[in-house]
Amino acid sequence: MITRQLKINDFLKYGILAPVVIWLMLFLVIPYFNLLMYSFWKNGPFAIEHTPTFENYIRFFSLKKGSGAPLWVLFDTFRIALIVTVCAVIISYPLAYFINFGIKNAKYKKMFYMLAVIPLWISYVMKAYSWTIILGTHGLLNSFLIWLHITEKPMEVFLYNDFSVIIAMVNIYVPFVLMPLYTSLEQIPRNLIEASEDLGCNPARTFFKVVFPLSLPGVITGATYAFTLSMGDFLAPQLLGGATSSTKIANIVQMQFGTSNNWPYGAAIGVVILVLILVLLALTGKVEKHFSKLDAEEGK
Amino acid sequence: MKKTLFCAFALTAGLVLLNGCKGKAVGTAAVDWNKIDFKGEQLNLLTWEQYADKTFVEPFEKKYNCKINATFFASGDDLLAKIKAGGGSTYDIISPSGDMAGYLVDAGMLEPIDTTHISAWNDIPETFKRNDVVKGTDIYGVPYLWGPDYVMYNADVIKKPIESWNELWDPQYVGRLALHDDISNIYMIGKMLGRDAADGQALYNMSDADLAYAKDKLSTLNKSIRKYWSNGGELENLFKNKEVDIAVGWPSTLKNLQDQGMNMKWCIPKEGCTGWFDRLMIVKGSQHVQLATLWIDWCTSAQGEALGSIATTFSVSNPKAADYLNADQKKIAMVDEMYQFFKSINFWSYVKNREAYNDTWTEVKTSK
Amino acid sequence: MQRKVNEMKKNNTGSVILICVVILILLFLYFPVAIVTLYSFNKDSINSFPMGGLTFHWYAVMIHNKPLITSLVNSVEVAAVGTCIAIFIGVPGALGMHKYNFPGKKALEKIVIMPMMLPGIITGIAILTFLEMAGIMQGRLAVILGHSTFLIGTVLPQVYTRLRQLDRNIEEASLDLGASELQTFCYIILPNIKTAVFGAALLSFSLSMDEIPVTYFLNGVFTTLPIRILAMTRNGFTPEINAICSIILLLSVFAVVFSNSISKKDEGYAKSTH
Repeated sequence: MITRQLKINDFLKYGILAPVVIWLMLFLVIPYFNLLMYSFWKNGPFAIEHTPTFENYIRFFSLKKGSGAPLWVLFDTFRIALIVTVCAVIISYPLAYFINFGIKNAKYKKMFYMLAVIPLWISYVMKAYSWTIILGTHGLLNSFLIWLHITEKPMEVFLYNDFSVIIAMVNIYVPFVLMPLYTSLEQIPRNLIEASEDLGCNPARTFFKVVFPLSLPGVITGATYAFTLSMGDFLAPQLLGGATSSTKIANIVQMQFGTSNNWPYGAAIGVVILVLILVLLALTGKVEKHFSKLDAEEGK
Repeated sequence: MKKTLFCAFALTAGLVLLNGCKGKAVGTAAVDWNKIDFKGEQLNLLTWEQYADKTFVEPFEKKYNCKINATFFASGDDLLAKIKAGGGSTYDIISPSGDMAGYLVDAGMLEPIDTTHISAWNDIPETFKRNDVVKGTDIYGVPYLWGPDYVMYNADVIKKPIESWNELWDPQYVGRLALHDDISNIYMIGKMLGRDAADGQALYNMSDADLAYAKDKLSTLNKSIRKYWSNGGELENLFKNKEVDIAVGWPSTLKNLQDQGMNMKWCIPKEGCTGWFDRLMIVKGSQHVQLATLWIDWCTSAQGEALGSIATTFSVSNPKAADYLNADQKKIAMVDEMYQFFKSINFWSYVKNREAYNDTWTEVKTSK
Repeated sequence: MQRKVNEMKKNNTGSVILICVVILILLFLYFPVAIVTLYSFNKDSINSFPMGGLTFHWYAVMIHNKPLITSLVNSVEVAAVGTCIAIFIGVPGALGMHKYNFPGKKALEKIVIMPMMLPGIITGIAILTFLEMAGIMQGRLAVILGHSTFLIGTVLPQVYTRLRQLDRNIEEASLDLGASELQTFCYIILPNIKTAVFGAALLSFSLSMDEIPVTYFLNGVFTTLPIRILAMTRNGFTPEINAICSIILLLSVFAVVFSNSISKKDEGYAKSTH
């Protein structure tokens, strides 16, 4: 009787876990490894040749072509992603802080929280497209500046360059930073703040000594999201970039699976990006754990 | 209640998945060329965006009781990527330009066309029929429409035409120029270097040194470029929103802008220009070869080509189309000077070292 | 005393500055989309200031845009099927992770959220190259498989988190009283997690409806709504795009408010059972 129950339990255990394990193995784990394998193949004239070679990686890492080399594009994308991340964090923080600590009334808190969440659900294309309306030569910003007599002619400097790409990406990725940041601020025990104020600290000092350090895990999570998503974004550069700002590293990958038609090379670049992001995730994971431990100790 | 929901979901999911997996039934019945009722069969086109205008799609759909479903590509490479993704089960008709046609034949991606059922075949002059679509006795493409990559500009802003390609680098055009996001810009540099003076095909076989020069030269043009356009509609928008005043593009864009009231003009610099000659072809594995052949027959007929030319202002390959064009339409499509115009254009051919050209072009777009 | 007053004054200026900054931030987040919505009523087809006049014309054009409607239907289909698959695989998976410890559990936790942590392009090309080798061409099936995969990463963690908040005692009590595992699941666990499941399903549905990067590499000619809108912005835009975006915005706002109101209610219930 007991053995039969145990057997049913085992069956149940494997039964409910099997679908997810099999699915993820089949459509996630194997594809990522397959991508790695693909990156070592060669692109023949009519079909892909399954002969192992390093040529895709050599081509990617070679610097001999000067400033247009893919490696420089990677660094440039890095730079853009960093700017986007810093801006997104700077913008998200006051909002997250305000909703958590600036509002006492629960109803207003809920309303503001929703205001903060909704942008996450607004379609990507709508946000990116909106900046072409605002920043264009005859768009809103230019018309507004002329109407205010600050400028006389429309300025082209707002659209189709790195500036417009960055602004659009910040606008798109702020909600991704906001969520983990908000959560980590929400989890700070209120009695710590009360204690700090009782001990004579003004809000500014309380913030820097208590709130900010405790919110670091959320900042790191949010910043990581913004950074990795910006690194891999190929849509915003395409829509808002100009002559030299519309081709980021993800666009180069996109081209290999499209018009340049070199899947193994695209796979190789994809693997490079994947490894970079995994390393970053591992590092930030460790840093986050370190700060979480500190938080836990301080909380005691 | 829960069980019913579960069953409903599972059923839906199952049906949809099956639908996705299911291949289409292959028709092996003998072909009846007298048939004109195709009972709502769908013909899938993969063409340049201009080649599915309803003025010539609707008469065909009515006559043969079928449906035309068109997908568009933005460049030869884009076409290739899409065919590789879709194949004959997704597309029946394609309309590549000369830069891809030969490659597709060599790669075995096409069905031979039975020219006995193309009524205009003998009306199309031999000059327009190139060998790159012929393999042995099989013909894989029928000449359709053609045209130049010329300079178009907003005549309200730019008062005189461009005399030489070098003028594009002039400071007055900084931030006001748009070029096609395509390796065809490298051919332009080749023309400027005079590489095709002796051999027209030299533009498609440029040396590494020339490619390096082209990359440097085009990189210096970047500051003049507002944006690289990928399809005609994008270029139209750039002009309409006054983001650019001058561009290298296709006649169809010019026509659309003029129709919307813009004062657009075109010119071809003295070094000449490149151009494209599109052929209609059938993808290998197509499930609707007969209907596809009838489509090609219609498009290349005198009336079909006339309608195509009116919609796009492209030049025709079937001289009899002139019968269906009025004086203005003939002038725009250069019908009366057909042969001289044809000779003045260096038509795109297949670039064997495509990877080098693609690399060069990518580097132009990423050089700072 | 003076110091306290000064500090209060500083507090107030600090608060005022904070409020101003917050308003600017909210403007930054909402102004662009508000403009798109406003300009969907623009008479002119070019987006410039000032607007040419008000009209509903573009909404009418949008409804008659057949390829757009087809892509909408496609998107809904993919979202529905993908969400179903994610629920039927993710909820049992979450349950399994909650009840059992097994080797590789931590790895599974990390792997399931990979598609959310990595940029979509990486997941997209990985699944594309794999499906190509498996003989599945780009198209509807590929898109559904791709979407389901990352939607599992939405459903499983959310349901798993909720399961961990449940009071284990009730579950054990049920089993002690003789109920089978299945009965315990249906009558005890499921009602308590149903809002988490529903919330995850709603989130999955909207994520799928707006997904571009993974879809871009898997779709071939099978157009989904965001892909179609993307093509429209590159093909020659008219305020028709503004119109469709505004409708989607409205639906998204509604979805957020709706899902928020349910989950908050249930969270309260879960907390109160402790």
